[in-house]
Formats: sequence, structure tokens, C-alpha cells
Amino acid sequence: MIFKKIDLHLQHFSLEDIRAKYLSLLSQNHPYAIYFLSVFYFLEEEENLLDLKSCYITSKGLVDKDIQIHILEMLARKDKSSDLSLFITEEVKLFKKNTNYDLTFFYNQFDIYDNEFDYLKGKEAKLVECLLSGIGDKYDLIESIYGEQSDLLKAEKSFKVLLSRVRKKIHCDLILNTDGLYQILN
Amino acid sequence: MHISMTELFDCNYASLIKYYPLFKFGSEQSIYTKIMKAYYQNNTSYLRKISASTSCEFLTEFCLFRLKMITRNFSEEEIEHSFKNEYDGPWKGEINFCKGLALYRIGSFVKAQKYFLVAYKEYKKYEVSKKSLLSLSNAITMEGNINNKNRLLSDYIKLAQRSLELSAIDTYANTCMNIADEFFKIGAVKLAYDYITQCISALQNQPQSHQLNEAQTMLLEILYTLNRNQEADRLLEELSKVGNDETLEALKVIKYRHKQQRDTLINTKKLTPPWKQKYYAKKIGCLGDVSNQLILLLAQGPVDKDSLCIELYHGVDFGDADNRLTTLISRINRCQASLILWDNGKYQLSHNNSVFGKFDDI
Repeated sequence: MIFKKIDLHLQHFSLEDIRAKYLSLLSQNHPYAIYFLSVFYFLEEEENLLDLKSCYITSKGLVDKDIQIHILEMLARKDKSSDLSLFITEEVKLFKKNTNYDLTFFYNQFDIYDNEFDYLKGKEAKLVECLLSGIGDKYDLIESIYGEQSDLLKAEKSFKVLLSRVRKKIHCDLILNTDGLYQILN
Repeated sequence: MHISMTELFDCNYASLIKYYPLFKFGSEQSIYTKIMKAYYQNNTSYLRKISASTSCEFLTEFCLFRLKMITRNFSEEEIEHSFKNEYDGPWKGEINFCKGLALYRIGSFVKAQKYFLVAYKEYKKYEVSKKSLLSLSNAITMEGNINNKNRLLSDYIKLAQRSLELSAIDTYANTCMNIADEFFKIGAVKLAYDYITQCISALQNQPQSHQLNEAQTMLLEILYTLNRNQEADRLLEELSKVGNDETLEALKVIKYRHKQQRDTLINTKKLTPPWKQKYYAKKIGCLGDVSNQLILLLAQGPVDKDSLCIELYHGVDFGDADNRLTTLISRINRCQASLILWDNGKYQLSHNNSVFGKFDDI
């Protein structure tokens, strides 16, 4: 099947066309049936926001991420009174973390605040993640970041460098060392 | 693709969403699906709109009845005298099921059980298999409400197995919730956690449904009891946004039990029977891992001492295992008075009688 996403700005398709397409895909048990079901609920002039939300959740295990984003966009457009804005922004954050898809529509529409430390990558992110989860002991941090099998002396040196790099990147006063335990002020 | 009314009665929320576009606008199937979707979403304003725009007298009455089931705005007499005209066929099962559920919600358990059993028989006659199992499950749940002491755990476990065989997700989720509640009451909180998470994952395709909210509220109570406060606080925040009265009242009970917060008066009329019980009950202590294991084994029915020793203390010298088991049971019975009984050479949970066979034969 050649799949083409529907342009939500163009009104050249009717509810009946979408319904027919959905029924045909449903009878073939095709995974993209969920997409046309979503378009159906998007176009139908009824109180069906939660039906569309349910479609979006179902779509997660069935179709590609760009189709999921398209369904999420329909949900956002239909959600006139912003009842689902919290749900939508959380989903957008997940997409941002895992993919490189174009999320401009959502950024224009919603106040999406990124995680404060989202820009950190690799071991830098791992260090902050460990500190946020409450690990404070230096050797526990080293073990979590570099693994149990690593050469301790070498790892300790790398840890110092990593720590100073992260301190520079975030704010030097954010990572404290009190009584031999590291902690992060978030 | 054709879906008959009988098949539609057997649909859960996710299937209703999937099949709705199949029906001709204004048809009986279309209106019924719309009503049920709105009911599962607790959308009272939409139910009002549907009732005002429906020309079929019977479906209007059905819609308003479903609306009142959410608002609990009716008396026992009103429920019993609804749907005066006789409706034959599978609708008879549906109406009796609704009346049973409505009576349960206002605490009239004996009458509710009677209606659920009629619904079970009627649905079974028309091969509405999932809904008939749900009716049987509800009739068994009513038995537990009529006699609070009756745990019915062995029945619930049988029901859970049968609902999995039938892929009856709603009944499976309901039964898991009942099992979780019973385990919770006797302090087997880890088992309660396992079952409520099974219930929630079974309902993952039914976001914001009434059943999912109920399960999440139960999970919240369990998390606080297990001292998993951070997770619980996050869930509490999420659930506080739900606009459904029953959930919001249950949250007040949880805040009262675990945070000693009593912001506003708790409206006990809006609490479901399990939450009413929790409101008046003391906070429970949690049993340990081996105790949970033992309770799970006994939940399915009586078990002899040797089998318990093998299951719980595999590889331990038999004399030692025997001693440990005796100590464990006496410790559990000290926490939960006479929970485990010794009868006919076997250990069993007290008040774990079965009504499954009696009802199933109807």
C-alpha cells in the first residue's frame, strides 16, 4: 500500500471517503486502519476527543512514529479547550527525546518546557541522571557511569574531568559535595 | 463487515471506538455505541445531548439511565421500575445488567445480585459470552458485598482464568481489581500490587475510562501503603485532574488515610462500596514476602502441609521447613486474626467459600 498522510489543512476529502477507506483497511486488518480511524474522529463533528486520544494510544504499537505524531497533531487541533494539553506536551517531549521529527506545530501551539539538563549527552547526562536519582557516593557514581569492570584509578581521573566539565556546563554551584557525598540542586 | 447488536453488547470500550464508524448515522447500533462511549468516559454533558437528540424512546430512556448511573441520582424503586416495557432478545440481558450495576452503586447488593444473575442467563442464551461472564463476575462480587467477610478469592482466580480464555479484558480487569482489593484487606499488599498492575495493563487501551480510574485509585492506595510515596504523589497529582466524582471522593479518602489531610468534607454517598469500607477501616500493616507467597497458594483453595513446605522452603530440611511454616502461620494469624485455618488435614484461608459453581449452573 502506498501510504499518504492527509493534509489537515485541505478540506478536499469527506468524512464518507475516510470512513470507506477505514472500513476497507479494517477488513484487511491493516495496521494503518488506526490512522484513518483517527482522521474519522478528527473530522466527525461530535464530542469525541477521548476517542481520538484512545486512537493515538493504540497507534503507538501499530504505526511509524511520524504517523503517531500526525495523529497527535489532530488531537491537539481538536482539543479546543486545552483539556489534554498536559498529555500532549508530555508526549511531544518523548518524541523530542527519541526522534528528529519536525515538532514545530507543537512548539508554536504549546508552552513546552524542556528538561533543564536536556542538552547534556552521554556520560554527562548519565552523571546528572545518577545525581538526580539520589546516588551521592563517589564510588557508586563511578560504578554507575563507567561500569563495574572499569579500572578504578583510571575511572576516578575521568570522573574528576567529567565532573568539572558538567559543573561548567550547568552551573558550578549546582553540584555540591557535602560530607563526602555529591548532590545536585534541582 | 457487519456487527450485530448482540456482538455490540459484547464490546469493550476500545472495540466500541473501533466499530463506531461502521454504523449508519442514527441507527440503533450507532446511538448505542455513542451512549456507551460517553458512559465509559463519564461524559455526562454529552449523554444529556444524546438523549435530547434521540428520537427513539427506548434509547433515550437507556441513555438517561446510563447518565443516572454516573450521577447516582436515583432510588431503588426508580431503578426497579425503569424500562417498564418488556424488551426481548439480548436487550433483556443489557437492561438487567444496567439495573444490577445501578443497584450496586447505591449499595443495594442483594437486589443487584438478582439482576446480574438474570443478565448472566439472558446474555448466555444469546451467546453474548464476554458480557455474560462479566454478569457472573458481578454476581459473585455482590456475594462479597452482601457478606463482607467472604473473600471469594478462589472464585475470583477461577474467573480471571476463564476471562483470559475468552479474551474478556473487562472481566479480567474487574476480577484482578477484586483480587487486589481482597489481598489488600488481609495485608498481602505486594500481591495486591501485582494484581492491580495486571488490571491496569489490561486496560491500557481504555484511557480515561471509568474502570481505569478506579484501578489507578486502588494502585494509589497500595503505593502509599507500601511507602512508595514519590510514585504515589505523582499519581495523585495525575488523578486529581480527573473530573469524575467517585474518583475525586476516593482521593479524599486516600489523603485522609495517608496524609491526614481533610480539606473538604467527604461525601460518602459518592464513594463506591470498596472505598466506603476503606474510609471506615484502619490502615493495615504489610505482610512479608513469604507470607504473601503462602497467601497466594492458599487463595486458590485448601493445601496440605507437605505441599506448602515444598513450595515455600524448597531445599530446606523437612523438619526445619515444618517449624518455619508453623511459626509463619502463627505470625500471620497474630496480625490478621484467624486468617489461616487448619481443617481436614489442610490449611486454608478463612471465609474463602465458593459460590462459582452454584451460580454457573443457573
